[in-house]
Amino acid sequence: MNLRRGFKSEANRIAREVRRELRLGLAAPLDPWKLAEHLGIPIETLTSMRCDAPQAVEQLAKNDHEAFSAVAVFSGYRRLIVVNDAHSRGRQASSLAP
Amino acid sequence: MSSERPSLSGFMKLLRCYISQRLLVSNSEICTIDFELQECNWRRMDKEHFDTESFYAALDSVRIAKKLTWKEVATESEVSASTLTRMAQGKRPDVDGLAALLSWSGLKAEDFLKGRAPQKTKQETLAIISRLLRADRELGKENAAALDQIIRVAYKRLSGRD
Repeated sequence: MNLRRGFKSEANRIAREVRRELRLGLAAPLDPWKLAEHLGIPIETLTSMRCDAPQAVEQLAKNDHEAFSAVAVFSGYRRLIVVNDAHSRGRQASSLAP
Repeated sequence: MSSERPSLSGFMKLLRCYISQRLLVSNSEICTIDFELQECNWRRMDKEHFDTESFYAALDSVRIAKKLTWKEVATESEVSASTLTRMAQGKRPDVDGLAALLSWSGLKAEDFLKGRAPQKTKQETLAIISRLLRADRELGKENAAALDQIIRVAYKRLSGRD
């Protein structure tokens, strides 16, 4: 995949800036939940939606829990992430990272 | 000495009062409007707020007109990229950040002192998502229906957040 010119250095600058704001070293582990909280992006778990969509939660958390990792929805400029908490914490972190 | 900054809502109240005072000295017609506003009393002022989402949308228009990335906006305005991202989520900037962005953009704070337009989820967007999910043969009928439901709930919750 070709990245546009300057993307890597720009991404590195932002990463350094955010790490500084979170008081993290350049090589320190980055907790995606803390990062999302810092950026004001809410993360909801799949099972927290059981009351609104019980069959859907049953399907994606139990019957076929590999079918869904996470989704980010946008409304205007706002975002909300739903993550499948039937997965391990590490898998969830990996789902949130992109 | 305390380093505490005035809250944005406090600042907006002061600004609102300042505008109100200016109206009073303008002319009698505007004074009438001001009187009506005063009739609504201070409790109503608590409901007045800075419309962060409209302000962010206006900033975005300025950004596009100047052909800049958000990162460049952050650099030029000396406001952190994280602050801009938080604003996209409807969070209010602190007074210094707001002042910097107003100065950079040339926008006026009073233009955003109004009730926020409700953030509506476009039904067409949900319909498109639903159609795409159901068209994906690898996903399966049950998973497509489940994902469709989850995304609808997510949109509903996102729209319900203040």
